[in-house]
Amino acid sequence: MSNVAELFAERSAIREDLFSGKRPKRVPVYPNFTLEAACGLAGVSLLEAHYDPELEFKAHDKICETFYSDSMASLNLRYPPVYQLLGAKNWILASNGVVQHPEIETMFPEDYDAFIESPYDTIMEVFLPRVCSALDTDPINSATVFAKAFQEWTVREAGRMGTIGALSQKYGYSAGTVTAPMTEAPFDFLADQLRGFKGILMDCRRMPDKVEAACKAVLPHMIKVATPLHPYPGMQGFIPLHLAPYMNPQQFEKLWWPTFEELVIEMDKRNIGATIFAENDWTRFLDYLTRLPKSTVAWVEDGDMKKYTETFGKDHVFGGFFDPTITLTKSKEECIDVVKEMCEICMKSDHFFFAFNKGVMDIKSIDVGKLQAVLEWVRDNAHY
Amino acid sequence: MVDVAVLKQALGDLEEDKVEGILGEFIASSPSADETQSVVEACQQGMEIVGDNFESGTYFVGDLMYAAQILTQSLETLKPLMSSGSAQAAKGVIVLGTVAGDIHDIGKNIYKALSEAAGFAVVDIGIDQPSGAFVDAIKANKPQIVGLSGVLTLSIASMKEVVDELKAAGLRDGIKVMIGGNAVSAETCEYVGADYWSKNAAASVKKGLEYVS
Repeated sequence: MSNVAELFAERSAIREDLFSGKRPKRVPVYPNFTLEAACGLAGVSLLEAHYDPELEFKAHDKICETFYSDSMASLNLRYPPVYQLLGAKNWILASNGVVQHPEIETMFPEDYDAFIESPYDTIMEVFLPRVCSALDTDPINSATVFAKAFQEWTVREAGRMGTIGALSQKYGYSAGTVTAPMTEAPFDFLADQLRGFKGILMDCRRMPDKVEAACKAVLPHMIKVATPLHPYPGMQGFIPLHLAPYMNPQQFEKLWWPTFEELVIEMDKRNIGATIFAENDWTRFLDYLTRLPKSTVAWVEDGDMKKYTETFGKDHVFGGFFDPTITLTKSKEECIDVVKEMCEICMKSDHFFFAFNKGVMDIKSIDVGKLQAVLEWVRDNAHY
Repeated sequence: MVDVAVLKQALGDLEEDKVEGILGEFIASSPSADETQSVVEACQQGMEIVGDNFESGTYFVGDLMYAAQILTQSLETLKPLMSSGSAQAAKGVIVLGTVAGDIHDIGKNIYKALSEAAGFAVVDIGIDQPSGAFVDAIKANKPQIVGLSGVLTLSIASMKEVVDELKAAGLRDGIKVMIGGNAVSAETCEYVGADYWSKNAAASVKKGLEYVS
């Protein structure tokens, strides 16, 4: 137990240094695995784990036991029972039991005016019944379904927090890069949940003024989603970024960026840092990201790590880039060479953490032994 | 008869209203099948301009999708005027699908639209498709190219299953396997046993044209 307590103290000190702008004694190791990978490793049925919290716990524990990490690395964010109660079409189970988000169109072009006028009402009264068949009924039954789904969600969330707490205690984990609720850039919310990927990109051409007005209209909602009921200092909320890399510079500057920047600034004012996941390659937007508040943390999928180090990484915490699937084809030594080179570049900043370029979702997409070696190499060698 | 150069450039410049206007006037002129064919070709050539602009970094994925949408609408408009005899022979056949366990189709659909614009016949078998479905489609359609799409990392194992099954069925030789989507990389291409990988639909179409030339 004392060893676990020491580990917790050491990891907490490293995280504290990282997030307070000081140089930590070594690079923190914050890998990420999803429930799907955890089940694969533990030999547990994913479908059963979705409905059995004990099995789910066993799967997460197996990840913790197998891979070195300074924070809880095995997570589940999507609960099928919630979506099934709602009859949701925006989160569905694929043939392999993986919860996925299909391309959907919940809002049609002709809905823009009503949405701009009153986004929350339109979401509740028009869009949710469209995207959730169980809510497409009379108000009393709809409210009952909604309450049941919300209750299921709170039970599962409480279970998730319990799992994180129990495994953090068992393995001596500190907090990681995310400690507060998730929100979305207004444009991405409009795209992912309402107009769809294709729909929004067509709208950018055909009705850009309405897209701009809709982003402004929904901004207060996205700020509210990011704000916990009981805030505490040093929180990091999560914002997965999506559409910008697919947009041209003019569209990005006019339609995507302004309300996102406002969201992050507003979160910062409320003492909530934004941990962004820069999905795809954001190198061409680095000048924009660099001007975000210093509380902004970037978890990066792809891009020029040298440029990140020299710009964003001067004053902001950042990490990512490492593709764990290289362990399938490269030797252990070659994998370590990759991470060594990455650390040589990124440790020129004092604000770098080690992370995968995205969460490992399938245990068959990596070589367990080589990935263990990579994580342990960072722990033992990436010292300042 | 319309000025095909103007039409081509309008599509290349993503001027949806202008393209619609030109095609509206064209249809009203009761054109012959040959004239229709030359207008179809102008639209396809407009897509080449789009592809070049994408490659040079002037256009982005959203622009590609918009161009594909304009092209699809244009071909739909021209369809009643197109006789089967005037249709060009396909440059090649592609069997395309998103592999098992993955339901994403946006990248697949972009690649499909660009490949069709480039003159390929594309057999799209859909999303979340098991390896057996690819084998059946290949046996039925005899493609030169198989396109495997996947966004999630779990699609890598599914892609490998498809290639392994093609080998087991004796279908791998003579077919080029291309993998595309957010999950792919040089390493995954090697692991899967594919011939080509890309996250860029336009580059994949170019490579496909090389394969069939």
